[in-house]
Amino acid sequence: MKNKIRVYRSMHKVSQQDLADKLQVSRQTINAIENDKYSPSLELALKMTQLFDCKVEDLFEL
Amino acid sequence: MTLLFHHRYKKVSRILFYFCFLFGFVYLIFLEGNETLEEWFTFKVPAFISKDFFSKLEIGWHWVDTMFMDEALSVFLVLSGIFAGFSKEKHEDELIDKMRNDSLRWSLFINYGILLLTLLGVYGAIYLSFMFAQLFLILLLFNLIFDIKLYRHYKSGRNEE
Repeated sequence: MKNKIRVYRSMHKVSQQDLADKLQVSRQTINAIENDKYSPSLELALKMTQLFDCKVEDLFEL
Repeated sequence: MTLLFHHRYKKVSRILFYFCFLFGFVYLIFLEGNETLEEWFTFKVPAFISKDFFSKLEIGWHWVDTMFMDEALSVFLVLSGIFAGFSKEKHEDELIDKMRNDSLRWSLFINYGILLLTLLGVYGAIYLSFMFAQLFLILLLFNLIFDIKLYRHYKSGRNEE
């Protein structure tokens, strides 16, 4: 599963650490998701869409 | 993620686990049968079931003389191994939980692979030693694989922002 988290993060000027703190995960987990090494759970994906104010399909694609 | 121990147990149990493993290995290779150690650590302990080669089976609470070193080491190994593997990380999240599950799965596959090889290729009295070693091998493999995964995880993307 591919994602555009890095793009949305830079659009919102949020660092990996800031995003990790808001989502209550580690910075390394955000890094793993951005590099497509880990697909987040539905709960985490929905939290991200809430933070970036976008739809799930804007952030993730198969 | 709920069935985990507090993070405070992680460090001490990990140190204790690897120390017990190393000491157990040294003990089995070099110190088993050492008379001084046997003198110090042999005493009466309560037992529920006991049977020696030349004695009859005893069931029900009674006292037996035993060299307690093996039992003490085994208890420390099991408890410290479980606490080391199943204590929360400082920032426990879903990726850490996935790594823990993957490590457990790999250790189970490897351990039972070795068990199959042991069943089909090891015969005689040494078979019992292999079976005894495999009681603890699964814990060792689990903790080793999990620690390697954690090390790689914490090392990943150090320079990224």
